[in-house]
Amino acid sequence: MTDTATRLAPQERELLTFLLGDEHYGIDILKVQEIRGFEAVTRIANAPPHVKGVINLRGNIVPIVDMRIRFDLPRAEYDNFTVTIILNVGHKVVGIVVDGVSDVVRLSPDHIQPGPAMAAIDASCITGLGTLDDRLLILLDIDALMQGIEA
Amino acid sequence: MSIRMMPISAVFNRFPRVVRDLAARLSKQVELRLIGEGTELDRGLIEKITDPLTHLVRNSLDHGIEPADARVEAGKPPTGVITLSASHQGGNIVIEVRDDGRGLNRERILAKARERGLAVPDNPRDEEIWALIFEPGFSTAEAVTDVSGRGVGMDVVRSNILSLGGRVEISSLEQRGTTITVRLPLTLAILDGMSVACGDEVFILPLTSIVESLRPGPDAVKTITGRGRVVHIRGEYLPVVSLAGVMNLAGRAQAEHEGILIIMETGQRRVALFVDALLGQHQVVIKSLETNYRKVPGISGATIMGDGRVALILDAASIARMGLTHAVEPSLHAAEGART
Repeated sequence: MTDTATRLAPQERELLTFLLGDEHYGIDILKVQEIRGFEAVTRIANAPPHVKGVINLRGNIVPIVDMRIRFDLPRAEYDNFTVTIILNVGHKVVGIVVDGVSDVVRLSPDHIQPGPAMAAIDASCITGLGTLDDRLLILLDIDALMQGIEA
Repeated sequence: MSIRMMPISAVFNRFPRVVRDLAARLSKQVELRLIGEGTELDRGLIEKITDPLTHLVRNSLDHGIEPADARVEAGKPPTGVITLSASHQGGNIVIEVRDDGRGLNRERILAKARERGLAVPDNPRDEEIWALIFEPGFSTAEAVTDVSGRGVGMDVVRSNILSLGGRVEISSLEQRGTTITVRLPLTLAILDGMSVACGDEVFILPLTSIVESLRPGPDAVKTITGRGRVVHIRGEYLPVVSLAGVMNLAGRAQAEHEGILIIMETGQRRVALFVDALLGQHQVVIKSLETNYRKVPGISGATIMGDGRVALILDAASIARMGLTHAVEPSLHAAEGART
């Protein structure tokens, strides 16, 4: 993290990458408030299935979204590596459950290409595909992703 | 917290003018005394208490205080006094509207109640009679003025105050005056609740909506057309609403006699809420779910329990409504349990 103090080149984006199964995802690090271990949630009745429930985050009631269920991935057991990423989306605070957080990376625009138009995937919340050391990084638009859970 | 609290003078300050104008219109001599204007209460309460209080003050002036000559005849000073006071008592705000007027008239109220066909107990106590003036459509004023006698009002006052979690009490002495006491919770942010267990979850039910709770006998719950379930309590058949059914949870108790029925009163309706167990009584701090999430049907908010977990606060009225409109589903759990 030492090099984060150095200036970003223009248009370079800094991303937090996390894992869902074998897939790497990236979200804008400026949206991330904190990362914490997964803890028990309080279920909410009649909520969409991907909304696991709410937790107590230092006195604030914060909803938790399971990204695997959101993307219809096979469910994973929650283990010691399962983490919750707390995000600031608009004026709201939302937590997402992912399999693990891997890295903070910088990506310049030449390493990002637009998301593919494929019927099989929910493209509305994918802003692009990034390449990082031959790994595919799926860039998410967290605001679009969270629209479903707000009123 | 200090931001939430405001002195009640924000409400009281409007009354000197209200009283002066009204007294002039009714040709009465009235002095208004304000006590405890510095008493602080929740900002949300301030807004909601203004109209009911205005109504009570106007009532006192119109019905309570006599015209000057009648007062002199009764051996009272010609100027009537209305006292508006506020104070903290325990966890409550107590607001009193007191006048030294003619007081409530037992016979007039009783006669009026019979005329209106209201249920009156035999040999009613004073408080029972005074409570009648809160019934809808009740007014003992002989003439309808633009101030009072329309009979809308006191029932609205009471329902407003009840909806804030408060209470109204009346005490009155003939020729000595009437005191109306309004008790309100100190803040809307704190709620007296009963924690109940349902499956693995804990919910908070506001204490104000609970009438009683009981464990029914194995035969106390009957089915209607095999689906709707009712319980016979004190001569009344109450619909049974399963919390597990409304909340889509798997409750532990399958049949009603394994769990607890909580008789809830919401508005005019009574229902028996079926839960697994009662856990205890708490004062809880209400947190909004909407800040970071959205409004959830049947839930009025959330709170953080002593162990740090989140418990949802039930909205009794909408739980009852949800339970009654989706009556099929909740009863299925119970029906299956009863058969095994």
